[in-house]
Amino acid sequence: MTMSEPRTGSPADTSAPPLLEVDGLMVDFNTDQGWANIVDNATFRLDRGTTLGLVGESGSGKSVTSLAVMGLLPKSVGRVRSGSIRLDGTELTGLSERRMEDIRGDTMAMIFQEPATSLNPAFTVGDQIAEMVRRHRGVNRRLAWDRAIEVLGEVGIPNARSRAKAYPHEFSGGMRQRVMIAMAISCEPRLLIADEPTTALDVTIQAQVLALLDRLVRDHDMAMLLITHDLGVIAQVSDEALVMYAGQIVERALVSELYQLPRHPYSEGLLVSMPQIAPRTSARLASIPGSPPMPWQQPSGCRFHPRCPYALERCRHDEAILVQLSETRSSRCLRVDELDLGRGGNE
Amino acid sequence: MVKLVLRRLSGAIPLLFIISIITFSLVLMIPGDPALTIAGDSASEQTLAAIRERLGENDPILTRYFAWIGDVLWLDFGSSLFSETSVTSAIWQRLPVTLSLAVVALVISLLISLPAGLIAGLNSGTIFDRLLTIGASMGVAIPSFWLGLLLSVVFAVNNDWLPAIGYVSIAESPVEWFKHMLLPAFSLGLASSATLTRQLRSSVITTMQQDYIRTARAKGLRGRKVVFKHLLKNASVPAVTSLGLQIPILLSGTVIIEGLFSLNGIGNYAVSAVLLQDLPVVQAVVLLSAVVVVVTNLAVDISYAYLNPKTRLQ
Repeated sequence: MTMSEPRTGSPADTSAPPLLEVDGLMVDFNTDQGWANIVDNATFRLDRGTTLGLVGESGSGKSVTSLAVMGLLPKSVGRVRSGSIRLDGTELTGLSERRMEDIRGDTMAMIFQEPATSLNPAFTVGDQIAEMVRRHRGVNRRLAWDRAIEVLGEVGIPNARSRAKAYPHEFSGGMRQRVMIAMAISCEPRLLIADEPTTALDVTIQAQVLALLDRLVRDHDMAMLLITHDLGVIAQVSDEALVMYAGQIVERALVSELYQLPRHPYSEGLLVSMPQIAPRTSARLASIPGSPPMPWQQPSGCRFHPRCPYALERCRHDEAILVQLSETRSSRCLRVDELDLGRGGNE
Repeated sequence: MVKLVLRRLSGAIPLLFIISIITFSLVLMIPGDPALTIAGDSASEQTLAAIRERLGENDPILTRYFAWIGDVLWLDFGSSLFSETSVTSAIWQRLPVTLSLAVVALVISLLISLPAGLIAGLNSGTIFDRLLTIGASMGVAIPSFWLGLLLSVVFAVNNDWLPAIGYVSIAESPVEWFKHMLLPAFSLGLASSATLTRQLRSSVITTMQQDYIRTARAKGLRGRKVVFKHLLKNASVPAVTSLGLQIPILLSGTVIIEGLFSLNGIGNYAVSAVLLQDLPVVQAVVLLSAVVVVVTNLAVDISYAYLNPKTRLQ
């Protein structure tokens, strides 16, 4: 994915109650090394009609955050230690599994990374959509099947009426992801969570699927939480971005702001490591050295300091906290006021 | 789907033909002279020659094969070398006994293994799972004849709860039929249930980790719908394979169990025929067993097409 012009646009009116409000979310996982903290104090809100991008490398906690919202953390492995998740005014943490089942697929729906394995190979795609419609709408088989055909058509599956009777293996990768999207919107959810929806797809298909998601969010006035490691994806469809690193939110910004002027060295690293079409200034692609820490061996001080080109001695000791810089921006950098970021490691 | 069934069926026919040739070749492979077996050591050369002529032993081997297969196609397996009775009617008489035993054993083993495999797989790592896994390992290890003896002693000899020997036709008295079947069928089916439990447990565990199970939960489906629709249809593919393999094992197990519980079934019939070198009977039993195995494999193949639509492709 190449870098494209960041979308301009601002979040909806912030005075209205947000659709999704996550506050101080702590998620722990049971690893070989004992219980380890995976998501540390995540706080964010998502308004109706907007798209929030959640960006970071693998292992940054972005997918776990979304699974926690969906109540889909693998039992016996993951748990929400504390914090609150409010969806449309309903507190989700502590809800019974039965109540969560009523909400999942109805008020919120999710699209996964691998359309090839996320659809059940043993049932037709129409059946897999219709059963969800019947579950939440309580309609009969006939109406549910009609609804399945309708949404398949809406996401651009040609000959939806006959294709509904096909099995997942009879579709291409891009079409399978469209089927997943059709399924997710079949009950008109207010929140759509898309976890790396384009990562497994061909580059040419990626843009189509993103455009489709963007259109659906606008047409149905949904809110979308878009999880990706690819800032190019965020640029195309998101209004606001959260950058996560090692389980923490390290920067929050409007997408346009983030592209113009990152306020955290990790965001800068992500930006400069994106491939550009523009004139090649250096021979090789920049990258962030090293890899994210394991959850059970988080570094002291700022969690990014071992990989940060700007790290000073105090970054090793002082804990970095998320500091609000303006109404739309926050950064978790101890040197946020001293650094002039945006060029990649050249102070 | 219909095309697939026809294709598989047409594949089974040459296979059965080859099996019939091998079965017939038993004549050539079994040591000893049937005429001598029938007439005894003291018989005169003329008597033996007469018997050989009657059995058609002087004809060329191909002629004899076609004569035999021609009859077999009409379900005529000839007559026993000794009793002169029709092998077909003897088998027909004994079939209900063996069939009852095998079917009840299969039902018992499914009644045990389906819930046990599902519970163990869905609760893997818990105490339930450990206990069921240990139980299954023991079930595999216990020989059926030992279990049969033990059950007879406990339920029939020391206590008068169930009959230890004999067979009552289901038409005569379904209750008595069931009582007579219970001990032998349980002895026969336990090992199968243990194998199936272990197979189902492991395929449930693998299937639970699949992305489409997470999708089904993300759709808000009720837990039982996720398990009984999305999980079970996929997890049953390896279990059905295992089940298909159990059926011939159950059938061969009837040989021992019928002897142990004095059931006059095909297993017993086959054992005495082998001991007496009663060739037409042995041939009939071997061919029948082969047909059962081929049909079972056919059924397993066809069930794959239902369970996994991908295999419906060429």
